[in-house]
Amino acid sequence: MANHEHKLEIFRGLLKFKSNVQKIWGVLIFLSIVTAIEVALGILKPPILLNYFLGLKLINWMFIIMTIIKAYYITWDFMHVRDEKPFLKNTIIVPLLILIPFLLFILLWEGSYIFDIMLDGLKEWDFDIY
Amino acid sequence: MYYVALMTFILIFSSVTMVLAVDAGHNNNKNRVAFYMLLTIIGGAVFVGSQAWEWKNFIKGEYGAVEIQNGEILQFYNLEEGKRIPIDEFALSLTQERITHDDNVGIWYQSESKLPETSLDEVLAGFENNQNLTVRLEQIDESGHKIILNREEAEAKLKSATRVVKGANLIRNEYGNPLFADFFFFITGFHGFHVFSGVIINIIIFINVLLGTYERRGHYDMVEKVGLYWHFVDLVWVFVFTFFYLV
Repeated sequence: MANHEHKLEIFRGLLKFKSNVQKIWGVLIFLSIVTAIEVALGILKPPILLNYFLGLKLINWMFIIMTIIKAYYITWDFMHVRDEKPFLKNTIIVPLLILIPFLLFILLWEGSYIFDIMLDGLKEWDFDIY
Repeated sequence: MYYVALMTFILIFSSVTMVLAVDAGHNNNKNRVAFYMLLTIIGGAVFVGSQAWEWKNFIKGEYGAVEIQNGEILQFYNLEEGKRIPIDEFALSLTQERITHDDNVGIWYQSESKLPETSLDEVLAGFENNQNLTVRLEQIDESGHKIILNREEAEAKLKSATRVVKGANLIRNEYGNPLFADFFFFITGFHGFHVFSGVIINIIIFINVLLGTYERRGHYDMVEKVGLYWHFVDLVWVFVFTFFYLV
């Protein structure tokens, strides 16, 4: 930020841009392509992707992976984490790596409890009105 | 789905114009910063507006459903056409005198929520009248489709019908379990509110850019800071879009 220098290559150096502005447009195109694929999959829902893999449908695994890829490019290029020192990068990434699995665990644990009650629980489907 | 995808593109695009504004700020180019900030504000405003429109449709409802005693939601399904049918389409119009109870009549100053345009009796009479109709549950079978009952099962279920549900709110939801509606409104509401405050902050910074505050200061770091906020809101939307609209 201080010296205004940008690292201009993405995809591990596969694609190198001439200027920062060009890189921004390049990343936009990439994000748009990924989003378009997501939307197309969401509309078509190919039957082969509806099989389960590790407790989740394959199509949902694909959505989650593509979302994380998009999140990577938004933080790395739009929020210019790519240009920062490794130590700063780690202060951003490491807490997330610890906290996100923890939050996921809580959410799945509590969510499956509620789901079990809903399926064959005490008496009601609806926790709101009674 | 299509509309939400468009909204996603709009938000990503406004994120891009924000980066371009930051980049122009590094080159101390006031006019370009102002131009890109303006585009960002427009993108954000369009997004919030679309969100509000989507909420309005969701709250108003489309098909309508019937709630039964144990809280389950029954949606109506036309076997002949093989698709869901709106309740106003088959309900018979009966002459009934039942007006909304307001708190200015009666002694206990209590009011009730607005009555649905179609009453439960009208829906049930219409169901009785049309043998092609049946009921769809909110539970799904192994292949992931909502379970469609046959006519006898549907009639048995409808015996305990308590009210007509139209649209969704935090208590009742014609599309399924109210927990889903609660979660949807909670998450998209918080995100929408953050986008809204982001637009406000962007407008403040935009005015400051126009006034030349940052030009006199010699750097556009404030644009960079709101930019980080804006990207974060965009980042959150990427996840909301995946988990609420795609999965």
